[in-house]
Amino acid sequence: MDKNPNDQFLQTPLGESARYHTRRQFFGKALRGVGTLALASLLDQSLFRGAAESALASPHWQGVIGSPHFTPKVKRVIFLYMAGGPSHLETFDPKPKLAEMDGKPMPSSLTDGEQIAQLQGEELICKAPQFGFRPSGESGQQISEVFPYTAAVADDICIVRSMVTEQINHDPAHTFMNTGTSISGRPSMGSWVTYGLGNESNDLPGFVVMTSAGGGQDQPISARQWHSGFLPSEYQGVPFASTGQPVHYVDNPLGVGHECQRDVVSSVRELNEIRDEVVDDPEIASRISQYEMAFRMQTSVPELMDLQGEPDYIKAMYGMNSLDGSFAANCLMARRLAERGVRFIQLYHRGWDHHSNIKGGMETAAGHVDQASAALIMDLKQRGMLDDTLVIWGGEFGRTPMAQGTGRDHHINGFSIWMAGGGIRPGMTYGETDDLGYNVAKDPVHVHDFHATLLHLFGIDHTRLTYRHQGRRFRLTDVHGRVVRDILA
Amino acid sequence: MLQEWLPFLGRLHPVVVHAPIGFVLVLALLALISPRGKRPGFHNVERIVLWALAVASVLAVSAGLALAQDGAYGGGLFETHRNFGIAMVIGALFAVALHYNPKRWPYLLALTLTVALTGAAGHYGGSITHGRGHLTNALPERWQAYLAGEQEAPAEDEDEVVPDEEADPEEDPGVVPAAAEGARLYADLVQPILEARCYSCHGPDADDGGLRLHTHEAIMTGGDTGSIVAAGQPHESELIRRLNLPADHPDRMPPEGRSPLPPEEVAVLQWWVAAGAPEDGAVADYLDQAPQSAAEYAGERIGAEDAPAVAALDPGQPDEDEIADIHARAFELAGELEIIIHPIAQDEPGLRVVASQAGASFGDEELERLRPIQRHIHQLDLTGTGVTDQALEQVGEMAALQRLNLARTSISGEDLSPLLRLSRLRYLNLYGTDVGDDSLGVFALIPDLEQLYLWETNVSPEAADALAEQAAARAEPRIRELRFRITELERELDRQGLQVLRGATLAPVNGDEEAEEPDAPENGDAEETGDPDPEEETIAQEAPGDPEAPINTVCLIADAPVDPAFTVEHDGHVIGFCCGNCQAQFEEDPEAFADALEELVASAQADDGEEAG
Repeated sequence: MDKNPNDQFLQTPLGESARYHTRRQFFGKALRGVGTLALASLLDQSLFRGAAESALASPHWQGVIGSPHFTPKVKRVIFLYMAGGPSHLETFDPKPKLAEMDGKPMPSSLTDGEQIAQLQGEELICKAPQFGFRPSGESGQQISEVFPYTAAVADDICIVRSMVTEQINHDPAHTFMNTGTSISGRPSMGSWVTYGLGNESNDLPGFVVMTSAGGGQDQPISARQWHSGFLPSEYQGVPFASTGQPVHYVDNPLGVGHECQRDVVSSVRELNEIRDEVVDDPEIASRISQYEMAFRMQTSVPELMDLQGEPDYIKAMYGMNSLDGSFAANCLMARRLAERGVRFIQLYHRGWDHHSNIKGGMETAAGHVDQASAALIMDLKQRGMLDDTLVIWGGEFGRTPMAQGTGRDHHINGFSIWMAGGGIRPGMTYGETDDLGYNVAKDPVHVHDFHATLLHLFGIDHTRLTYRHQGRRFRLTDVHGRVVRDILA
Repeated sequence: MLQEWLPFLGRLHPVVVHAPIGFVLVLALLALISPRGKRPGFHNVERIVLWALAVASVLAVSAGLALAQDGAYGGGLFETHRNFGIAMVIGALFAVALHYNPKRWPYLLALTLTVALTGAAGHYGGSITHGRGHLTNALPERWQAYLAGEQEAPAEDEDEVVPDEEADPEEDPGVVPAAAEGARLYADLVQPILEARCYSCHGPDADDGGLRLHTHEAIMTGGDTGSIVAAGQPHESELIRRLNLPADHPDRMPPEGRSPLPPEEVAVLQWWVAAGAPEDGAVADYLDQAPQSAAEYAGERIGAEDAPAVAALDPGQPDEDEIADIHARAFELAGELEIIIHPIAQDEPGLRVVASQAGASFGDEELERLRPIQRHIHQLDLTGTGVTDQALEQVGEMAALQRLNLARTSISGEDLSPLLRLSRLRYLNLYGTDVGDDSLGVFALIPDLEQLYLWETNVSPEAADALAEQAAARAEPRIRELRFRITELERELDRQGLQVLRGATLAPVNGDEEAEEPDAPENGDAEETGDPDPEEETIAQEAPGDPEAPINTVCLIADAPVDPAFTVEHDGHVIGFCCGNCQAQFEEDPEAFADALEELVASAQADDGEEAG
């Protein structure tokens, strides 16, 4: 029996593949493809529009949302981040009742079933506030005597006594404060803001981080805290070293001139552009822009660091002499960065983790940050910049009303921060904790609410600044967040 | 003896005058309840009240005559009031006499007459104090027209009565409903304000200080001290200056005790003077120069029909295509000039321009290129750029500008007058420029200005204080009633959101921290008045060293800050005054102020001594 030539063909490898490509199958698959495409374009318009406007085409000062959603109150943020968890009970939240209860057991009705960090299994004893408070300024806000300079700007700041967070250990709490979740890998708020609104500086990154230490156990800060997560990497925070060269290798090596360096950067750019045509990877665009930024920073950073134009009385006001890595020096740098258009500036001071000797530790830490924080407010104000700058002072959580020896443990159910500047109602205190400073008693401000308010001041609707990643859209406040309108001017 | 007390007696007139009114009304009431006077006891009560009426009305009229004795009052209105007053006394005396007559009707007749005369005298007296038409102006417009019409030609149908403009338009423009089309700036906006606020002392029936404001001619003529309006120059005009003075300044108008003009009314008057104080001119023709508050006032005042003209003022109104065009153009310009230009927000199409990144390479020529979009610029940041004084003329054309940052530029402050046209300007930053005291007059006249930054300029603390006070004076009526020490004033200013910042010194709040901060004791009091370095320089250069600078900061005569423009050299000292009037008063008779002067010189020398030590 003769074999059917057709059957013979179907047994060859080519024929085998042809069996899967019948006319019907071809139409079926093709239709499914077109249908999917059409559906996708219906579902996500930005998918196609986004491709047309590549990152290279729009100027650096324009972010993904173009213009802000509504009229912004602030152009930039300086976040004085008190890492370690400053005690609210010794700073901005006076608790006379706690002083009365000194040495007595903490009511178990408050503490039962609550998260405890290091005091687990220990006897919970009340500890009196270690410093007195005095009403400050015309507004009469209560500020601890450990902050005499901050008290001098009391009428410019808005104290929030009812902050609430969810993470009780430093690293996850930092992550929560910065990214709105304790899960690693999400973008930090500085990245969200610069991604949304762009960077107004031509030659400095839009998000700059500096650190200083002193006053407590110097908890490390992970670079993850200013990471851009799944956002393009050009939006991640750039840490500036606070002593020596702020950016490594910012000087050209010996024998390499400006022209020569330009040649190198241009050549690398050309190569990257060739690669960009072949491979569709947004990180290539990021890389190109970062090379250019780095090249411009070779000029801008030395100018930034040159304090010759700063009069002595300005330095004295901050309480600094040179760029010695102190918080005061960083505050002056923050102002200089802000003047140059940097959008998000974060100054970490690692000195507030007072598990023991809270009195001495706070005196030292406050000595490091108090004068400079207040000076920053005054300096911005006299330059007419406080008007459109938001200054935030606060940490990742507060500290327990309960003693841990001579110190206090971590506390997340209520802590204090202050804010000042554009759009914030000055000279007011918002929210309350209970008599012992344990739980929020009135007007809680969750970290998500804080983020929503921050974005609001930038003119961003926190529900509309999103990024699609791994199949869903993410935002800084995820599914939470409420703008705290009561503290807005 | 009596002559000595007459003026005092005269001042009692406004108080005494109310008693006869009350008595007359009581008598009328009694007569109404018991027309025949037969109710038990009524007759006796009437007798008592009648005598009280007689005494009180004689007193009231005597006091009135005493008040008028110095000649401060005169004219038809006064004479009418006086005559009715005297007639009323006669009527009252007749009523007393006729009450003794057993017949009742003569008494009732006399009483009725007295009531009518009292009403008339009271009405004309009120017109002198509160201004003519004080009562009738508050009537619904239809009734006003009816009253006006009745005098000219009795009307059959009140609705058809058209107010006769020729009747006396200057004297009673408030009666004429402003014609929506072609409302006049002077007749429909300025004159009604003057009428409501000023006529009682400076109007057809009063000329305090030789000044009348009821006709354009009278305004331009001025008063005893000369002209009060310099057309086109509000900051040179006495009218505007007096309105803007601090509440407790002796020259302030309206004087203490009278309600101050609301800011928008001052803005209207400034607008009118700046526009050249025209007698005839449509509101619409000058709208583009109007400060926002004045434009809004105009919109309310002249009614909805003209509102489109006001709305057209707002550059936020162009249609979407136009906005898109402007934005496209702006975007191109941003790229070419390497600066930032973007709409302020998605719901706010006005443009924000930031050129500070370009630094000195952005100069007048580059600014010139913004011309096509400049009407739409709401925020302009030129900090640290290379723009010069020449740029101000162009900046003055950016009518929609709300925020202007000229910090650290080479603006000299020689002529800031183009900024006067920026009627929407709220924020002005001039820190680090050479702007000096001479420019301050301009700032006081930018009507909507809320924030002004003058740190590290040549502006002296005294001049800045004076400006702050001036600004506070027009902020809110309530504040004008208070007397401020400087610190209270600044607190109040802060609350008002107006910041005149000349720099800050940071001192800790408690004393014991001062040891750590070597600067603190020196600058203990400098927290509010200035930063340490410039402060010291200022003192060194200006106070004792500079022979031109006055030795006092508070006026020798009035309790108001010294204006450096008014100084007199006397006995080798330069004495400062708050205004030209005080200066003139001193120059006329320096000996009268010998004691105050001696005290001042002594304290100035004590200061010098401290300075040296």
